[in-house]
Amino acid sequence: MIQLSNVEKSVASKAGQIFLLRRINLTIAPGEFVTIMGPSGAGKSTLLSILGMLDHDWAGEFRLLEHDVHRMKPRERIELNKKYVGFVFQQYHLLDNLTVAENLDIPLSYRNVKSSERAAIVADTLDRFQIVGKKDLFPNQLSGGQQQLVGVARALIAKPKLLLADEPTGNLHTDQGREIMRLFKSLNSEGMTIIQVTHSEENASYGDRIVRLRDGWIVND
Amino acid sequence: MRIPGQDLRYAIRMLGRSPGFAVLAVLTLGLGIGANVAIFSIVDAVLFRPLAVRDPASLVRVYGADVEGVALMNSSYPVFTDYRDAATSFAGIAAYDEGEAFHLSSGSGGTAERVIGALVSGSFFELLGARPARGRLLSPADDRVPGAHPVAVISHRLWRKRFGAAPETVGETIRLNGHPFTVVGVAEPSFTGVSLDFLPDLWVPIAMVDQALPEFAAENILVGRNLSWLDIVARLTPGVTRERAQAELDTIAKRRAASQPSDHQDPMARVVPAADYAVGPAAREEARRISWLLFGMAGLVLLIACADAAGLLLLRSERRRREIGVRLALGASRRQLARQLFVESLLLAGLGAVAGLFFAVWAGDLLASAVPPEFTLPVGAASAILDIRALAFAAGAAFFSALLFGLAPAARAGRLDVLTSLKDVSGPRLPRRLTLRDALVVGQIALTAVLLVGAGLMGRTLAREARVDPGFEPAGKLEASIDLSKQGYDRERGGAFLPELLTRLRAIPGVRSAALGRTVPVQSSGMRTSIESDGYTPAAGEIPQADLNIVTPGYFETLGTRLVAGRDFDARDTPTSTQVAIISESMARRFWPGVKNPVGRRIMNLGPPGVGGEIIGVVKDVRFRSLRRAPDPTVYVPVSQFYSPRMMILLDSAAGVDPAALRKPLADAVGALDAELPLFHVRTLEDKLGLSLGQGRLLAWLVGAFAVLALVLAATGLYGVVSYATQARTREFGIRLALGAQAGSVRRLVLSRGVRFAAAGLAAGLAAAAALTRFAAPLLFGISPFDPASYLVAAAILGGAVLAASAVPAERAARVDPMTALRTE
Repeated sequence: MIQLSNVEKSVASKAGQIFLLRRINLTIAPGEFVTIMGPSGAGKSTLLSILGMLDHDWAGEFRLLEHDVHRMKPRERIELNKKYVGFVFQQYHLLDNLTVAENLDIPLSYRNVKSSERAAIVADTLDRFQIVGKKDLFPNQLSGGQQQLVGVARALIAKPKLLLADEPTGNLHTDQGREIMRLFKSLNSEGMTIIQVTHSEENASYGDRIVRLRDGWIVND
Repeated sequence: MRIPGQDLRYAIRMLGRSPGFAVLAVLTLGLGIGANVAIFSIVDAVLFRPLAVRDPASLVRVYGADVEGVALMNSSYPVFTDYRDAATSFAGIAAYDEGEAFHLSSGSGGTAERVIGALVSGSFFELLGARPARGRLLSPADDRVPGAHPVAVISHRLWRKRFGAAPETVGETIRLNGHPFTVVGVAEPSFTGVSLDFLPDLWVPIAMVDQALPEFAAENILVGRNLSWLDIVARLTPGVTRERAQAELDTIAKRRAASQPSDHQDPMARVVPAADYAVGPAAREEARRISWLLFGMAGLVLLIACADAAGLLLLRSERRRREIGVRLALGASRRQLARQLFVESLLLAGLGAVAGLFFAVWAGDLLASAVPPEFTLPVGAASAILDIRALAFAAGAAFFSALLFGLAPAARAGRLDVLTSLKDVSGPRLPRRLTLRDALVVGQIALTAVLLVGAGLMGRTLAREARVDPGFEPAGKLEASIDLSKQGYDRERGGAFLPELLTRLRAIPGVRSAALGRTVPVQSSGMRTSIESDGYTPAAGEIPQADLNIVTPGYFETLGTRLVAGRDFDARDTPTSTQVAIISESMARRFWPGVKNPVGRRIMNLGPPGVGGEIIGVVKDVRFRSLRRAPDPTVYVPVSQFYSPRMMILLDSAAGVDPAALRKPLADAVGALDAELPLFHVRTLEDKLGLSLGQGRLLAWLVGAFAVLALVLAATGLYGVVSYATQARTREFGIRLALGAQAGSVRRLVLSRGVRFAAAGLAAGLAAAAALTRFAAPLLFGISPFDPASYLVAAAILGGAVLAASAVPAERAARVDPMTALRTE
């Protein structure tokens, strides 16, 4: 599904070019649940951003399904992101001024789905994640676990093939974190490809492959 | 532009969740848009709005013109009938004489009063498509036989004011200039004719000119080709252009000229759009200048308001970085994001426009009540302050504002880096470089400086004007006007009436002295005369002139103008005695240069040929026409030797007597001599002087109001920037304080940011003011557009405002608790 060849990312500084990622070669098959681990500054989130096509400033080759991402313009990459990728953030990043239902509606509206269809999809998703009773609440009226549940639901609502999660349980209590991880496991068992970044060995145990980074290099796969 | 409902819904929600921001932005924009709508309503009524008549676009005015077609003038009645009978380019044509004074008295009670009326041809109302509110309007049948149609139509305003809107007014007989007329109808309230210079109270047929204008009864005015007293308005035949009508009238005029003697040639014709001449050419030019000045100021305020709103939005977009990053990560295109943000701006601007309309109504009412009658813009004509055009203007201003203040934040949000935004969980950050928001504040301060300098110049102009020695003492004086010509007085009757009136005036208890004069200062109109002095030889081609005033004995004493040489007029100056004159000091200097005392010298064109009139006295100069205008050389002659039917009464009240209290006994004294002779322009001299300053005061007031508005907006903007910067540096201040910094040094750090803004803004603003205020030079008096005091005061006020706006954030910074500040990080 994903193939990275010699992907590198660097930023300029007074001291010269600083490499955040070095010669990353990585292949991920459909349906895999991959965990990226490593110490702070290892390049985990940077790699995730490149995979999510939120970062366009890198070198190397990147194939996603049949698409040569490295040949695409940023605008085309955004379209690819819309089509295939769902994102879950450590800080949940729900929009504070929108209700749960409206937060779920947002990705669909950006994909120009008709409003009548959107309402049906949002209703299905609320039902699937058992948060129908919370649909008119605002994020600050939810617990951290509930907010992350909405975050996952929002990431999945546009039916992505790839779910990217950056420290998805970093701000949650242990029990809430486990609940989210069980959800990921269940999604993966339904065929969803998942790539998560985490520091937690326990979270990593829910996946079937660990990629370790250090100073921008893959040190273990 | 299509606004998706969802964007609008979210925009409403976003504003609802930040009520403080929304209210501040809406109020800011409301002030800016409202000021512009208020000014637009007035300027539109005068310069742009179509006349309130049927199909105004096809109406033209026909002026008389010299061969070059440059100077525009009125037409004689025969010229009107020439065009009426021969021109085929017009579907209709009418003539009118507006702005004529009528003495009105009526059987239904009330004293005689002076009203402004118009003489119109029978076709006038039909041509303009006017409808009656009551009764009927005038028709061609009312305008056939001279003197045979004593009928009148009255305005809705007069009907309400004088007749209490009584239905039986139609059919009532009123007396106009001593002649009975039957009221046949009341015009619609909105009907103003084709001119905004005068709003007539009544209309009578031109056929009644001898009764309506008795002073011209002997002139045979309907026949004379050399008496140009009429305006002509016509409606173009459908399909005929103005150019074709012009060509046809040219042909008629040339054919006519061929048959006329060379010593009298009727003028050529000039056909112009009626809408362009609703205000007379001279007044229009002045109105245009004042309009642009007001619009310019209102535009500056709107710019400042937009800069404020843009600043607020930019500040808010800083706080929304994370939200914008999330939207981008969820797949929002830059365009979708910009559209969402722009819809929010549009919503703000729309709400601002609604607030602005309320503000405009309030400001319009305030303006209409504050405007003196002599104000160049006839604000009274702007009757409906908020019509569909004003609403459309408000909508346009709102959209323009949204573009101005909304695009920059929207564009910037579109350029936001997703990764940085998503990681941004801390509070605001202080950018290292000068930001757009900083530049906006500097711009606001600069624009405010321009308005403050303008207000200073206007204020100083007023102060200079108030310090001018007018050459008379206005306190304790009451003036009133009479016009004997309207009552049919001839020279003999009038000559007997005036001394009798003066005797009665002097007998009024509480009157210290009384006099009559053709002119009482300050009065923009007045008589001029050429002067042939025995002490001055004019240069070739020079025709020396002076102001002429006709007065009774005691005029100077009553006015409080000192006699510096010779004597006043007295009983010795009779119609048969030697012609005498009193001159002003500047007249003495002008026409008898080097002569120490011109008493005894002569004005050769004032008396019998070869003998002339004798100068018997010299008085101090009086600023007759305007306090701003240097005294004109003036010659005074006695009413006993130079009869004038139109005179002004001047009373000087005794010590302790309020001059306004003399109105009633004055009216009684005049009424006892002639019950149908109305007094008009009855007012104290102090009030009249106030009115003469009125336009300057109003302009100063308006510029001042705009400047205060701008100052408040700029201070708000600056407060926002400094406050935001302070918040962004909370941790830095905490560290500084933890390391032992004094509160004062932290305070200075914050203040210095405000001071830097102020310095940059002031420098730009004062330079811009120096470049712009020279255009306002014609409105200034006694000071130059570069008056240093005005610039210094503006700088001081702005500096004070900047310090005040920076003081609160500075104080907050100085009180930062180091531990709390460091923990928030």
